[in-house]
Amino acid sequence: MSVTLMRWTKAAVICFYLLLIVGLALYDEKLSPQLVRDMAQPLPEVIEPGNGWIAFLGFDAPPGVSPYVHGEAEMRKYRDARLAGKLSELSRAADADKSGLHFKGKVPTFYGMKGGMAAFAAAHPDEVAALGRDNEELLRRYEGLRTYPRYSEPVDDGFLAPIPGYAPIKKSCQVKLLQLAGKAGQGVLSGPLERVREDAEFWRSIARSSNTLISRMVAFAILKLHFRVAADLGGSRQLNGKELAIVEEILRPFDRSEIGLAGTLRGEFRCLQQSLRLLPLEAKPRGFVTTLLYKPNATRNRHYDDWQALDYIRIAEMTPQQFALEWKKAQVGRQLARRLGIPFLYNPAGEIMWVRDQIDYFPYIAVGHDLEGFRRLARLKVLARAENISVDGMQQFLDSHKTELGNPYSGGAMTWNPEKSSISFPAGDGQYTMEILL
Amino acid sequence: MKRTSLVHLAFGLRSVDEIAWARTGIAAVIVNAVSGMVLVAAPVTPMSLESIATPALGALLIILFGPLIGFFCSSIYARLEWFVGTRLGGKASLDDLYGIFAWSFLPLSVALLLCTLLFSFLDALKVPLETVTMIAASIPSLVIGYCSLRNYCSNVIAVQQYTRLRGAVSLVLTFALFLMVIMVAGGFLLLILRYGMSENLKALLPRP
Repeated sequence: MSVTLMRWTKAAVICFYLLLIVGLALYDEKLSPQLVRDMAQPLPEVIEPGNGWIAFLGFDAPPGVSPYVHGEAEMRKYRDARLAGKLSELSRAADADKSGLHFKGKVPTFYGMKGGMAAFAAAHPDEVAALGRDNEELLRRYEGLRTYPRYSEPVDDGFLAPIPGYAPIKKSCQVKLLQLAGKAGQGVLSGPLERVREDAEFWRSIARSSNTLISRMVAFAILKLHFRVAADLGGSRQLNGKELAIVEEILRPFDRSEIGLAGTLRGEFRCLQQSLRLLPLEAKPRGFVTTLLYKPNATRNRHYDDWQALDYIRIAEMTPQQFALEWKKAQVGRQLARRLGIPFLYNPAGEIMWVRDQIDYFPYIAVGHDLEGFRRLARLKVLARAENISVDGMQQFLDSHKTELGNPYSGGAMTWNPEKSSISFPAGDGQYTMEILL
Repeated sequence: MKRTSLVHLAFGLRSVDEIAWARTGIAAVIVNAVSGMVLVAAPVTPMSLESIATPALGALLIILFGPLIGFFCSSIYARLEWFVGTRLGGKASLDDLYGIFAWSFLPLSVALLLCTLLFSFLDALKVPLETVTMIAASIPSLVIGYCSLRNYCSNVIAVQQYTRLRGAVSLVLTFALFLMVIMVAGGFLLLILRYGMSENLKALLPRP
């Protein structure tokens, strides 16, 4: 009797745990209807003629190969590898591939250098010429980027999608700006300025179309270079009416889609959601163990709840002054207190990911506002030169322009430093100073 | 039926054996489940106290997976003890060893939980965990743990009708074998997690 009872008890225990484990492995939540609605809007296909992002991706194609063709092949390889579950093999192959075209030489930094790029180009024409000569094909490719009518990023391919190598693009842009600054130093200013304007327009359009933080931050960094060059050229001599109009066009105020990060953060969120959806395809081992440990819908719902609670879109649409106050408040405990909850039972890996990964978007939003402040500094430098403002009258000049060209975060006037002959304001994070030398 | 306190169970040298004989196998199964729950409570309770997990999750983990751990450990360990014992001329049946393990395992789990709770309590009170404090906090658990182990060993030796030396060899061999089983199982799990049941792992397996 006792032995039979023991056997039945053991069988019952084994059955219970088998059922429990299979149940936990098979169960996943239903996606929140709101999330489904938010994700329903289709995005344009990435691999399509005319998409500049593909040319960005193939920018470092081997010599003689079209960046678009190379980028398209890279993107197709990624999608095929993802479907086949061979992303790590693809990543290893990409790391081993050294056939790409690399930038040759070193572009100097101009931070804190009086006269900036214009002064450097005038003082070192041979170095600028060598940089241009050594990177001829990359510079040609850089010019070619502007010929694409649109720019769509592969947001729906998730975070593991290939990312363009932005470093050679930025360096090519710097060389181009150096060449233009050099030409401007030789006499006629309007031609080079016009080309700086065209290039700045291109990067403004990239900033408008960007759906991911990395490309948006790159666009901001490159736009800052354009503003610096425009300010250096505009502040180095008296401009005629036509030249001043071009500089003012380069330094014109941003519209909300260029500087606000709402669109980019929506793209980032969508990219995160797609990554969480695609994760089981990329995980090893596929199958029962992955299904037991990770549930895409439950993980996506958790992140969606956070996304709504943190309300980053509203914060990204704030004015710099409202944003500064919000950031100050946020530093006193905005992070959500996350604890492993009951979903850990059926989604342990997803739940741990959710508890650990908490992205703080405040510093990224601040970069946009910092750039707006820098644009104001550049504009002030050009205006001060155009109006022949003396050193003694500079603070009064800055005070008189504080409404439209003041510190974006405080609304007060920019700070004049007569010793360094610079105007500045503290950046959004409070740790750095955005500064321009007069 | 005579009621037995945990204190008697932990400290009385012959108590485990007496209880194991007096109680049914079902009681041993239940005791193993409870021991497993106490064992799982040891890491889970501080997680809830330190706001890593919600209390609801902690309770569910203890209720659902505690018994599983208890059944798993007791079944494997008792079977290994019996396997080694039969080869060394032991006279005990599997049920005897299962019962002795069940009743010895309970105070050991309680000792572990007690130790964890004491450390969490000291941590919550911001008491600096220096060596002296740690040793002092561990003393109750060490005493209970030592008595449980002593009782287990003594009862196994008695029920197997071993000499002291043979008993010691049997206990050491069983423990080493248990560690090996755990390591092999853990290694295999890690291998699956690392490579998956893909071509990489299949390549490691012998081909027919």
